[in-house]
Amino acid sequence: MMQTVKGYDLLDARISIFNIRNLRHIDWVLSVLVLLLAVVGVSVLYSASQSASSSVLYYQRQLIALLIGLGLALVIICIDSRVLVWLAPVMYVGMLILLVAVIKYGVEAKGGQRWLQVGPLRLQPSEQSKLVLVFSMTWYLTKIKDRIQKFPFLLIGLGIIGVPVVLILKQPSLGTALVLVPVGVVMIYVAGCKWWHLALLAAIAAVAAPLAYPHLKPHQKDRIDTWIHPEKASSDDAWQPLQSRITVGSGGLSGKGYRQGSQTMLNYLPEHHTDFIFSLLAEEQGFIGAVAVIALFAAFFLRGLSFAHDASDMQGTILAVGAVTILACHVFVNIAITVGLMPVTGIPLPFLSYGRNFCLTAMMCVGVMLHVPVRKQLFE
Amino acid sequence: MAFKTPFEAYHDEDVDAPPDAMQRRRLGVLGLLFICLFGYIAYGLVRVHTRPDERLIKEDKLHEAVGVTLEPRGEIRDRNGKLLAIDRRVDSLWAIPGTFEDPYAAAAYFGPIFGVDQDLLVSRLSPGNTNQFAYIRRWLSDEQFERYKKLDPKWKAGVALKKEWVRYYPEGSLASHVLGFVNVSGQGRAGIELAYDEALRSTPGTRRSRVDARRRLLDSLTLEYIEPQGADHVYLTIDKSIQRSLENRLDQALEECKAPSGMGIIVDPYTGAIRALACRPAFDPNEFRNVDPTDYKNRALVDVFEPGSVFKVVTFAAAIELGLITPDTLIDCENGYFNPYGHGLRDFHKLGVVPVRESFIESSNIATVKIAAMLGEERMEKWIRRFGFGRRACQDVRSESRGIFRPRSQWSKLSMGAIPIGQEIAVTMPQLARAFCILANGGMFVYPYLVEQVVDRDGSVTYQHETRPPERILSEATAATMREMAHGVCLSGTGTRASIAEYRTGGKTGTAQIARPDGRGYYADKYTAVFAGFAPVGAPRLVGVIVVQEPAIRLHYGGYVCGPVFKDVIREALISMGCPQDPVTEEIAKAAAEADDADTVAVAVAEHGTAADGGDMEILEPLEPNDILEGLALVGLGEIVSPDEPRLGDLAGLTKRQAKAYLDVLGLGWDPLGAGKVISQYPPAGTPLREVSSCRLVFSSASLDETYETQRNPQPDQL
Repeated sequence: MMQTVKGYDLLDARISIFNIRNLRHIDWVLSVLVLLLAVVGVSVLYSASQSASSSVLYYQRQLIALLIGLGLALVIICIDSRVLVWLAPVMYVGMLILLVAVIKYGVEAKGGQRWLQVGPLRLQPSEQSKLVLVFSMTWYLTKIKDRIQKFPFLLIGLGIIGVPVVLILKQPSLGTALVLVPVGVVMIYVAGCKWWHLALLAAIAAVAAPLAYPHLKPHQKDRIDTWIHPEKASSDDAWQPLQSRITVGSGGLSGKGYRQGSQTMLNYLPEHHTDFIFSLLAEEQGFIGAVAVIALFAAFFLRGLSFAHDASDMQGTILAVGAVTILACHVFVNIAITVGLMPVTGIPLPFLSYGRNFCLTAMMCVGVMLHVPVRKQLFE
Repeated sequence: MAFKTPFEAYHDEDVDAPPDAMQRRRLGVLGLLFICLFGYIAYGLVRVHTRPDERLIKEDKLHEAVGVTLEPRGEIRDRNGKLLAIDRRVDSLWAIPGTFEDPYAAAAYFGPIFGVDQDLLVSRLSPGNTNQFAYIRRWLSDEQFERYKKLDPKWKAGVALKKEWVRYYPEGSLASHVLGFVNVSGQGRAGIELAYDEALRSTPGTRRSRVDARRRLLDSLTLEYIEPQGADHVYLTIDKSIQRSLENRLDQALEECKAPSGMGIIVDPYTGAIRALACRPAFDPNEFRNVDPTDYKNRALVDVFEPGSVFKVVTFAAAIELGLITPDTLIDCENGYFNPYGHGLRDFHKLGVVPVRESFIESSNIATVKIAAMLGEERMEKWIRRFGFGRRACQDVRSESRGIFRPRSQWSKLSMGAIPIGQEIAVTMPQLARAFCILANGGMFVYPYLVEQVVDRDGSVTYQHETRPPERILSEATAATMREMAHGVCLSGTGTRASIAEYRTGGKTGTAQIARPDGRGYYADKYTAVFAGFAPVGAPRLVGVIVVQEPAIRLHYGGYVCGPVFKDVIREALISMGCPQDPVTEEIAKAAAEADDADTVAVAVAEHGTAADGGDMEILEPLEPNDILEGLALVGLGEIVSPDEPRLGDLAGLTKRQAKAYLDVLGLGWDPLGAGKVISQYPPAGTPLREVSSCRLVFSSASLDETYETQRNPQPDQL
């Protein structure tokens, strides 16, 4: 079948810019995993909606966001991904404009992330930048091909990530920046750079990190200090991570039962419906429930990586790796914070945390992931 | 549907090539990395469960809190359930120190608004104050609360209100010495508040329950509840209306006679229940912080004074009880001067040989000392003790004096000439009241008390006063005899100003010089005026003792100063109690008027009380002591020379008050018409007093018709 592609047999009606028949070839394993995670997410949010302080029905809003996200994912599946990659430079420029605009005109939300009010929409450019960056990197990496092995091209690739990351850090949204850097690095790595280039850069970063520390915001310093020296932390700084661990630990093996989480119901754990939703899950469903959800995520990501592995072209591989890594970074960082392995920063958990913009991002990532095997199917 | 146009802008053979082997290997590495990361977070999860932080183990403790339920202190009510003391909720304004960046500015803002010293506020509000709590103003008044509501929002945000229970005495200074007061920490510091602090005090209840993140207690998750304890209500024997009338009347009397202090007690003679107990000057327990601490002292219980002639009842009662005398026994009063122990005794009323009754009514020192001599020292001492002197009288109080009564072994040779007439002995007012209770109730000992019952929060009685088993001191007959003699004092003796028209009144007056604190004799011009009595004589319902210290008028006598107080208070109380009337009959009144001395008519000296009590203390030099028992063995009736018959004076031109005072002195009723000055009277001046029981007076403002009517058709009311 590869020959067909190589022979520009693209007049075949199945390969077109927008082909709704793509939907027939959706990977059902990944779809079921996403569906399960979404169900878990909405039900956990339903529980979180009961807590004393929240009058908002988070699960309803999340459900609507999920449905919209599903629609977007389906659209992405139907569009030839090469179109999006082709458009990536435009999207990248647009993203930079928005990132600058949000620093100038943005409205500050909690956690440093900012949003722009455009008519009825609340744009979070740092949120939308994640996927745009994946497309941009794919565009760049497929353009340069194996020249990535040369150090200057590697640096340019890092520069493509670096510019929005710096802008996002200005917001300051440390969490998003923390996701974007590994996503870019992983894409470059998979694209085939020399591994010791990356090792060198990692070593430089490791040396430079302590130098960056003084430039952090006070609350960010506090969070790191708290993580390193929990015993020295003042009660305010230590509150959230401590309460998170208490919440997770108090769930025990089998949990307190659905909607019985006293820690979260009584608002001991702030943000338990967003960044700390995993604590709520672990409290109510216990260790077993938490491990089950982690297993779902693991299956989801490994399935995603298998798409990359089996992709019919390099572009599909890179795209899939980017989409998977975005979500994986969120999952790893979020759960690591929840169980006290990392200092606190605002990172949502895909499919579970409340947050409509991120919900759309996650569903679009799923769309990108699902599109990759669809293309292969079409060629066969 | 699908766009038929393929996407051609972007196709490149190399791009469309599938991932090479290296890329696939790297994907495998990535997969391994993912698995490792999943392992890492799984490890974190396991770590949280298996190696919990010390604080995680105490999770339950973190989520529990103990709430304190502050209960109000118990109430104090009078015998009718009228409120005397209660706790009410008051707002206090506070802030967390360090809230205000500039404590000086905050102090400058709040200080003037709430009347707090600014320097004090600065020290409270500065971040250096390590407390988590600082009062800006404790216990806001209503006016201050209004000011709080109008605070600048900028400042208001930093402060908060806190409700606190604060003691409140709705009647202000009423019965303040009985009630005492409660200090800032809620501890009773005087009076009943102190004596019954344990019952009144409330032990806060506690509730241990789960809390939410804002440390709010969750009712539905209560783990343990301990009910508040204490806060029992105390019911006093005090009757608010009697108390009020006693206090008002005392105030009036103190003002009239320019005395600095005074006190009074009203007791139920059968039970000893104290119906009213007052000290003047009073204080307002609501404002105890602004009161001189010496004013807290319940001087009615701790002040001792020489009772003077009032004390003579002990001598007379003992002698009658022992059968040594009867009211009709004749006794030689030596015409007003007698020197039994090398110490001259004078009587104000110079009496000759008169019946014992007469000598009592006229408060003869000489007769009393002679009767005491008949008793002898041993029996005298025993009977004084028997009447309860020298031991504490009241229950339910923390501090009370025993009085000063030296044992016989310490008596001097003058003592038998002093103690029987109420000198060389100091008593408390309740002791005196008790002695009169014994006369009033037919001879039974009583224990004056203040607390009738204590009732807990559920309404069950935790303490009920029980009258002790009766202990007879005097025979019924002796008590009745003494009552009749005391009645005579009010009818025609030194206590006529205490006589109540509706109720036959008995009592005894006393005026004693105040002893110098250094023990060297007496102040020449400082007196204690006392009246003790009961009414109605037939079956006394109330006993009262009124004491006025240092009256600064010439007529400083017990009967004159204290008698009217007693009269007004007891009269009002008896009427309000619904006590059936027991008036002095006309014949008796007439007889009494006839028997009365001429000098009682003269207003100026009528109320002599026992003027000689103190005045005769100077030792008259070389006189041979008289043989005290010489004059006692009298038999038969000596001729008693009556002075000129007293007659009604001319009241024309007197003011209403003057006329009333005049008539009161004579024990006459009156029937005034109009106001102003007297222009006519009936009966006319010069009418023998024994024919008069009441006088109708027409004042200048009355109409001519009324005047005419008065003269033509006189109908003097018998009040």
